[in-house]
Amino acid sequence: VTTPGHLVLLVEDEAPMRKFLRASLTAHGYRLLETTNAADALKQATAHNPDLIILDLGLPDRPGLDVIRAVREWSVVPIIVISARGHEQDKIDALDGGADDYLTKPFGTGELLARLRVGLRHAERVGREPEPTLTFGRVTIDFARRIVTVDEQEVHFTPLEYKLLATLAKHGGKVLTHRQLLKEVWGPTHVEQTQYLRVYMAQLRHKLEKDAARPQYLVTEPGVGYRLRIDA
Amino acid sequence: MMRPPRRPERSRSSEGVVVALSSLVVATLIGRGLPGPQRLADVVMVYLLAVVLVSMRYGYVLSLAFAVASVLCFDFFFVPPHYTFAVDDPGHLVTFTVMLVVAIVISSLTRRREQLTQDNREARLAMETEQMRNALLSSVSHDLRTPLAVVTGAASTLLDERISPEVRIELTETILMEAESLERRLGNLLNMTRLEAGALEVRRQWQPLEEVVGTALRRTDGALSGRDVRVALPEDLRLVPIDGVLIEQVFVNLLENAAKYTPAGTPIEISARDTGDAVEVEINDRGPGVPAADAAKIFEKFQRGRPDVTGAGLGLTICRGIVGAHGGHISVTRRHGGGASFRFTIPIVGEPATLITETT
Repeated sequence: VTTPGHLVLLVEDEAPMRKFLRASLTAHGYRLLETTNAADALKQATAHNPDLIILDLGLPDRPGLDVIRAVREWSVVPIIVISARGHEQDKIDALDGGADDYLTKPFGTGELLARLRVGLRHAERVGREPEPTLTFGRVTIDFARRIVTVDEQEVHFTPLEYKLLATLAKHGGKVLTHRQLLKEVWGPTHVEQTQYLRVYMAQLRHKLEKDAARPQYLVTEPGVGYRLRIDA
Repeated sequence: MMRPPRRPERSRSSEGVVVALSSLVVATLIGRGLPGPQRLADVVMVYLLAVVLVSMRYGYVLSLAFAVASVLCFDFFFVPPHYTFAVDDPGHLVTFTVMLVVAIVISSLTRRREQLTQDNREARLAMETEQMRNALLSSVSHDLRTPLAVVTGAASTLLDERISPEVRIELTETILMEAESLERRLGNLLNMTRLEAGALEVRRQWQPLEEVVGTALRRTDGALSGRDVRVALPEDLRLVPIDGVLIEQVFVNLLENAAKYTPAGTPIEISARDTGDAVEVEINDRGPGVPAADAAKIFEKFQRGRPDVTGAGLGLTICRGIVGAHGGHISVTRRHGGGASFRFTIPIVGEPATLITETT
């Protein structure tokens, strides 16, 4: 944790949730701004320029999606949304609308802090030269030479497989929706063809994972999308 | 609330006019036909009877009109001077008034009675719904209260300063575990409610079964700790048209059941095969198995395999509901060599868009 800690804007209308988040975040060195509604959230975001925003989608005054869109007009600050289980479409809309990641209620501190780290890491990397290689677990991706090794052994990928893996790697740790992945890898005319994506994910898993039915890296976010777990 | 169907107002009122007119004719004829010298009081009684009968069946307006018509008929045919509307004796005005009042009173009583019957019917329906709800609640409340009781107890113990750090951690872990179990049970309950309400939305997408098995295994990681779970899916198994989130729930419920009802450490196997028009999935265990007599019953609501195992008895009902919503079928059989074999089918309807082939 850096000093002074990152400034987090917490937008959550339920007091007990704020209490638990406050305890957990301040204990880990984050500085905190708190608000309970969308209107004030936008004011605070412009006034204090936080390093990260945690946003509950179920706010009393306006849909959380409005806040995301408004913030995205002028800022790339990482936004992590909180939403209830079963509201997959809300999460997808939030992510496609510019949110960086999500947490499903109920969630634990471990999950929360992991998402924060990923979000902040990405924010720090914005505008910088991309890393030439990425290593997670047994896997190393060499972006310059387009070579992937598993346990030091080079593994062959088709161009689309590689493109999909590289896209996930570029957003390492972050969730990407089906639509986002399809658009980036297959192009904007194929955003509805989720079976392409699923088939290619299966192929990637068979090449990268020890057990494709128990993926360690290529994690499915049911009903939403995928993320590449790089701190596994 | 559903209201019993009502006859359309128009046909009811036109029927009323016909009935009222014929009653008027009949009453007049009876009045004329009374034996001996006509006593006006008797004639009034006949008309009054007709007024009562009409008022009992039809609304205010018709009853009043009928009463007025009766008064006019009575006046015209029976009150001297006959065959005129003139009235010699002002005392007859009282008779007229009484007939009108009776018509009003009876028709308003009838209306109130109808209202009461309607209220009763609604109350009874509400009561039956309430009873069903109570059955569900009582079955579920125990299931929810147990983890809540543990959470309350553990959390209040944590407030005690004399608790040692080790116990503190242990209690905190207990709270976390129970809260997670509460979340799972609530999820099942919600799915059950959706199934019952017919509000389960199936969003089919072509996908490999392996991915769904993977997310289900991740979700049941805790429950299956220390278990040998073998996944044997054919490499070339075709895509299945399923709602991944729902079918994942089927796997989760079946796997959690296997974890609950079979001895610790016994293996669980997941396999699938293509049967031509469907993909058939099997989840096999080496537990005590399900007696043939219970094989159908365990998919019913509130049925639990063993009374000593916690749960609301909704898991398999939800499985059946979800599989059914996909057009498939779920069953359990005794497994060769001991254990239970849960099997469900996913019918293959249509085919996925073909992949763009890559040259590599």
